[in-house]
Amino acid sequence: MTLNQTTKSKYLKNDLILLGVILIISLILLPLLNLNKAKDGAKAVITVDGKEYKTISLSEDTTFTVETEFGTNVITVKENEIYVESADCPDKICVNHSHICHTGESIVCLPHRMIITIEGKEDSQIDGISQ
Amino acid sequence: MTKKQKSLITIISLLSLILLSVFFLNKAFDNKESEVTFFAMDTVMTIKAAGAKSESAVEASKEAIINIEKKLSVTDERSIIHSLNERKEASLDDDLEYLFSESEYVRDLTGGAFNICIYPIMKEWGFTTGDYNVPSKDTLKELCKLVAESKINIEKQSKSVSLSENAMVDFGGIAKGYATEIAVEVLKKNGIKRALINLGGNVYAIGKKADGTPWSIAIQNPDPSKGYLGTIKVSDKAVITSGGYERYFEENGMVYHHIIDPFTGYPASSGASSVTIVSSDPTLADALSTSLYICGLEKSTELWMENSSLFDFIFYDKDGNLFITEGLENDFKSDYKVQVLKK
Repeated sequence: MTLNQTTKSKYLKNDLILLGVILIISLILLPLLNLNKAKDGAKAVITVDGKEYKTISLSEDTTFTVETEFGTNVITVKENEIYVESADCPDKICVNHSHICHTGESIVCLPHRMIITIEGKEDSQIDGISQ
Repeated sequence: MTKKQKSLITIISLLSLILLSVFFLNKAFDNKESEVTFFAMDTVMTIKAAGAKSESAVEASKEAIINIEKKLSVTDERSIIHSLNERKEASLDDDLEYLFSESEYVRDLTGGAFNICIYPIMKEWGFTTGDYNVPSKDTLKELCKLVAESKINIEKQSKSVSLSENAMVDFGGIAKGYATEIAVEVLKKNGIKRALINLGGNVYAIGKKADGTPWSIAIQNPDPSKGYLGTIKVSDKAVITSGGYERYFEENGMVYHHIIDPFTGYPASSGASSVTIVSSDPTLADALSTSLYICGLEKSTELWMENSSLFDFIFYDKDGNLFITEGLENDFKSDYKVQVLKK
């Protein structure tokens, strides 16, 4: 090995170490970047007692039942809107609620601790609704 | 370049990289967003906050609200208010002392439209339990007399409160506002500079959004088939709306909503469809939203003229007219024709 080659391989080694360090730091930083998940089309998120129960796209018509320890709600998606078709709660406020489709809108069934919230494809212009 | 110089450069670049990453890490933690959704005070509550300690901050404010609810509930047999209504006397802590004095202040301010002694009437209608019923005219007349004559006696020295015979209190018209105030306090104590609190439609915005612009809060249209009444841009303010559409029941083709006029005993019919209060004091805003709904536009405007430094309001009447006070003129946007009330 000539002297030149030794220095070269040393530089290569140093370069590799530097590269490795950069890689490790990037990996540490990666999860902290706020990677906004690509949202394709509006969807509805259904939570029960604060925990996510189901997320559903509003582009496909469907009817399904949310059955939990608190009670049962039948939910329908139709023509990009979502609503509670029937429920065995005492007040039926969720059933009487109008159909929703706009980002940020929600239907709440208090007795069943169930919330349907619309999440949109683009960030909503509205941060909260006073009602 | 010598070997020494080379390694020096390597060390310097590594150090700067580490410094840079520490900076970004810090930045990321500062902007860490946390959110909590829970059920309390008969409604859904959401608290969103950004900051290094946001996770513990939102949890702590949730705990604080649940703690307040435990004291104020009229239906929970273990609450101080329940025991006060039963025994007509109770001891006061700081929360209750503040709520009693604030309630008295708003009662005087609104000429009695806001009155925590309205509970016997609310109970008769079934609005506190959901067991709805339209009381007879005579019953309501009697109950109105009771409400008007109800006395609350606060003993500041011994920190106690007593009620006159048959009197009963309910902080329902102010509790969510006070819960908001407590949540704001807890968040700020935890170093939070950006947050959005939504307690069942009672909204409070702390600071500004991540992009430095104020928060945009929509006002619900009482007619759910139509779009929002408008949006208001706020920072460090409460936006609290009251409307008959929030809670009501139907009997024999008549709709009875939950905002009861303490002078008649019947659902308020002053011509309001919804009233929104914008104020930096959420407790005051909550109490005023129901009482201005009861008072109607004319009295509300008079009240605002004398206290315009305390609050602004948005008044939507039964005929579809939308009024706002001049303090909101630059921050309120609406597709409706807006009439600005000036001093």
